[in-house]
Amino acid sequence: MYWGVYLSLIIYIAIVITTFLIARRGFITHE
Amino acid sequence: MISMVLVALDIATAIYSAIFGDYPEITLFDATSYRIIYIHVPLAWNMYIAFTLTFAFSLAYLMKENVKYDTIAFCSAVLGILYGLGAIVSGMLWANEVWGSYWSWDPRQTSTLTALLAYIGYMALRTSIPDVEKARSVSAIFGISAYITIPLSYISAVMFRSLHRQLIYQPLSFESHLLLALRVVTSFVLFLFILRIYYRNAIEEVK
Repeated sequence: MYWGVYLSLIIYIAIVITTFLIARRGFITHE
Repeated sequence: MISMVLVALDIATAIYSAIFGDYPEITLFDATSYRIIYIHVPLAWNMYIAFTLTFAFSLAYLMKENVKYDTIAFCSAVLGILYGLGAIVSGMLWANEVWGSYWSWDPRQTSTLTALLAYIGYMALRTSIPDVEKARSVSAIFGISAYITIPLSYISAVMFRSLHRQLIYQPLSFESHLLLALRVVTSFVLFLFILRIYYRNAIEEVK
């Protein structure tokens, strides 16, 4: 299978986990 | 707890569709690259929805001057930028196989990059103004005016001579459409839950 599919999948999982962590722990502050 | 289940469910559907998802029979290039559609499309849709929420809540903030609306607009923009980056990178990986290069200044590639840069500008503008009240109003105005890039990105593939149009000539099977719909829906529900958690934490901070 095309290697880009695996890389895209890894990027997707990383984005989901990153957004989840940012939301829960508030890494990027509002002000 | 429910958000953890949603994260697991979304990642599980992503893995399943990327490994077992259906793809059209094409011999010109590695057709398995079409499986990126199950990653790329949900990311792009989430980006569009996130920036639409930023637009709507920026408008609501200017009309009602309620801090809650501004907080939702901000949180949505942060998530939109991350999803947008993912959409662009996954699209580039797909383009490398199908179009022959990572970046070809395709109208949709260019307009999506413009949208992303506009919202990165939104963040920069917001943090550069020390007065909080003023920063909120100015970024709300910017959030509304930057939204012009989103419909432009959406229609650019049809309006201009875009490489994205070749998707129209490579119809996916019924199973692919079902799987794609499932991916878009699970990814969108997860996005809404993440936005809700983010908003709750951000509004606590404002208080």
